[in-house]
Amino acid sequence: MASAIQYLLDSIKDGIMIVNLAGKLVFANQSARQSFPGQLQIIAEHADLKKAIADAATGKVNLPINVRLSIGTDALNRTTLVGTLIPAPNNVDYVYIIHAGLRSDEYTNSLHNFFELIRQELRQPILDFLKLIAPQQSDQSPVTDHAKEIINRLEKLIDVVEIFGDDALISDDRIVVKDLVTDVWKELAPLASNRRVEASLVGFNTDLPPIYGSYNWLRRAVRECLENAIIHSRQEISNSLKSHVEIRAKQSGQHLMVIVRNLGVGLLPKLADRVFLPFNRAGLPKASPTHGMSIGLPLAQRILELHGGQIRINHSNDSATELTLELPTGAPQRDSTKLDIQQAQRYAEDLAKLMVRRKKRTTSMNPPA
Amino acid sequence: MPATILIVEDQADIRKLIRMTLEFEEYDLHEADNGAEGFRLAQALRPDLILLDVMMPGELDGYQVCEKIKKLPDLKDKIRVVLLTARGQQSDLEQGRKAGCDSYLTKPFSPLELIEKIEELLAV
Repeated sequence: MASAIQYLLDSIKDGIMIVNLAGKLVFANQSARQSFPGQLQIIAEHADLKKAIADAATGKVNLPINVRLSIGTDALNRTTLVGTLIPAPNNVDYVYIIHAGLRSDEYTNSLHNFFELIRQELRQPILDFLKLIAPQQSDQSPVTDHAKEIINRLEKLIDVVEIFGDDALISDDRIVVKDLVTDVWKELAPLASNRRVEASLVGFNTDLPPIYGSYNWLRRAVRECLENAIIHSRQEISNSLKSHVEIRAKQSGQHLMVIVRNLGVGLLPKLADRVFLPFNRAGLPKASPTHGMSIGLPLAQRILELHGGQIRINHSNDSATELTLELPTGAPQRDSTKLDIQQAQRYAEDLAKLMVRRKKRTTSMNPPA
Repeated sequence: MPATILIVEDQADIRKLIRMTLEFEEYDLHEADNGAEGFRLAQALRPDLILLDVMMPGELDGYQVCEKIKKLPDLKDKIRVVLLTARGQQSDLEQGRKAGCDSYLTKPFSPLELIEKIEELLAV
């Protein structure tokens, strides 16, 4: 196979196997080779795959078709491959594209299991520990503060996995942005007070359209952005001055923008995009006072993307950093098929009564002579 | 003179179904498929009643259209607003009351119930 084509196929994350009519493996890409070392010929000769190929060759089925293969001899090592069979470009062989059952899926499952472990084995014991020590500690004691900080970081890690997974939960809460931002600022008040940062809300008038989505996740996103602004605000030397964060709301057509602006430590423009990469600290040294896990902004961006929005970061010459959160207004377009069917059923149920009603009206309007 | 009813609903199938339900009832029917257009038509047509879907994409959702109508001195007492909500949760009903709606229906709604509700509101 030409090296360019092979390079192309190797860069595809799905497993690709090219199999001939006799069930012989002609080619397998890197993903397939890595996921099923020593098993590729067994897969190529799998009875279900051979049957699918034979049916396609005789015209019994039209390609593409989905083909599921169960490989492995017992429950411990059984894997189900989910793939699609298509004709190969040479019109002689067949291509089996493996979508699921790959080693990358195992990795994703392991990551999910790992974070579930954190949730069960770490987070809950810390919460229980907090309850135990609560009578002996005040709410503001260093022990309680540290425990809460650990829980906060654990929850952030867990949220990252959930939101980047395929099953991220999005609901259709109706959200008034002013209420959301105000609630979040209240939560962050102790941090803001500690760092002598105050905020002003601009443009949050009652005419602003609502947004629809998951209140909890959007609250999380706004929290990450405001927390970022507080932590990175310039610390003034004079005791009489406080740092300032401006939170502005603006409607632009069918989008609502929340712009968080702060004068801060500054961010090199070339590093601006890296702040949205998880676990990337945008070039800051580990000893930096703003040390963190660098997952807050990536998490916020992902949440907004799932809501049809985005976050942009701008940095101006006066060291002001602006985070712009943009979200579509109004309810999202939804698949209304189920509701339409239910509504049609209600109409059908009432149809007989509607017909009787109409007949009565017609008779009363045109009484018989 | 027949009463004028404005249907504001983004889903074409639901609009059609409402129209099919009401067309024999001798109302003058008009339609809008989004909140902004619905508000514009409400001001232009001054209907007797608006059937207003709550969750619509775009700049104005149903609650906002209702609020805006109920704030206009020449429309607030003239137009009856019936909100059509897909959820029927308590928070939605509270939101509707806050917006000033006159009544609500939960989808999927009974066509007979729709007719009876309209008659009840227009009789007042």
